[in-house]
Amino acid sequence: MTGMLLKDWYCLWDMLKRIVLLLGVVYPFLAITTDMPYLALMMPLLLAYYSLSSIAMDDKCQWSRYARTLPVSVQAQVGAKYLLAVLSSGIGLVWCLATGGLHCLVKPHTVDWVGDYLLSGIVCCGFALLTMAVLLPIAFKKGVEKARNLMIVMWLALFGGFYLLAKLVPTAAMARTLTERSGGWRTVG
Amino acid sequence: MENLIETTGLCKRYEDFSLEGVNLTVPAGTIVGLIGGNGAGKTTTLKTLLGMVQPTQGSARLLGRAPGDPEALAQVGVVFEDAYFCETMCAEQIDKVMARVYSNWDSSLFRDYCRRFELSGKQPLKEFSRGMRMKLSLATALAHRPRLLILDEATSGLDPVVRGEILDFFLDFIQDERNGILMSSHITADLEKVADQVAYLHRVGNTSRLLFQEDKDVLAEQYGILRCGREELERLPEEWKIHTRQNAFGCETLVKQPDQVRALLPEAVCDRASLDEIMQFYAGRESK
Repeated sequence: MTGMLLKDWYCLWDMLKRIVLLLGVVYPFLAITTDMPYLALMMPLLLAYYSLSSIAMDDKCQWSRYARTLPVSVQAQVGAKYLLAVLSSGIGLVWCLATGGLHCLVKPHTVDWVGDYLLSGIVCCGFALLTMAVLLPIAFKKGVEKARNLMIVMWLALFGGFYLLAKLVPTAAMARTLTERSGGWRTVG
Repeated sequence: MENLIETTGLCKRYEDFSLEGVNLTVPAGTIVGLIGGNGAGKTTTLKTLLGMVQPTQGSARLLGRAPGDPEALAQVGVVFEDAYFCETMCAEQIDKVMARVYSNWDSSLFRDYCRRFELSGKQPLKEFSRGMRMKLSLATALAHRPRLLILDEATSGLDPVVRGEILDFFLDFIQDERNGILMSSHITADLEKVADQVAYLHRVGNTSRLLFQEDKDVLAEQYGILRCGREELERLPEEWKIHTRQNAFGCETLVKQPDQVRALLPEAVCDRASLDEIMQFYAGRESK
């Protein structure tokens, strides 16, 4: 399995190194300067989705066909993709928390590291792993394109759900809740 | 002599194609060429042997084990039409990956092959020519010291110089009599050069069968191209004639028992039949 994982890393690194500046520097910089932690919270999600990209790359060079001739079980080959998703979203979470730490250091009292970064980061990481648990089997069975389409549907459903919720729940009640929460966050730290 | 590959009545049936009753062997110390037209089932046969698809019927043994058995696959080197690595990878990275895949991977041997094939360790695959990619595939297939090489159109699309180098390499590999090669190819000239035996998969309609597996020398004795007039051809027993092409100068016929044909028709010309001619005449017989 480590061989498969290393192969994925070598393949992905070429793609990642082109956007490492964006992911590793620009996003955290914007998160801190604009007080928008969600830019850093995207890291676990963005990195987890590279597992799908790695399957797309395998499809492009027909790696799966060759891999079946290697003394590596299919379970190990599939397991390597799941492990990649776990590792990449984990790295994304660590990066997100580091950004949060820097944020609190540079601009104290503007954000709550526990609420804005740690808890939200864990939720985002969990969501990333949950979506990967759904998308990876689909990518293996139906192809990466279908998995990506499903991912778009999941995002639309998520945000569409929030939008509908905002429409359905009385505005005053929503505003009160948000104000309470917002006030709660600001008073911490 | 030990058989590295042995299939008995191997069948693989799809909706629109079936491969029927393949009895194929690859004895140690030999190169067996697998020939057949497009869609004759060569790749299906290889996939079945490697455990990539399950046979519908019959059995296959790869180094005495079931197809797809990791123990067997650890002793097999596979080369397909192209390199199946991500184009951004380089030989050094492939070495590191494969060292974690094969327990018996020999990095120094891999580097030796790369040097011998003049492949740069740091150059990404996308900068390699097709010939270089094939050489890299071959180096990858050999660096764990396999006993069996399975090659699917490994020399197609290569220039004659590179093809010659690779074929010489196969001959080197087979010097160790415990080793064997199963080589599927459209380029029958390559097989004429290196194969000890030839197996011919012949498709009629939607069904493919193994028409024969014979020593190359025996094939030369068994088949001939007879060039003569229609009257002379009539004197031959029907069972010797496989297919006849009529042209302005007379008839060209693929015949069995060329020695007996020569004795019966001493005035006619009966040449040795090449693998290409055997395939073309069998194909012509079915398209009549």
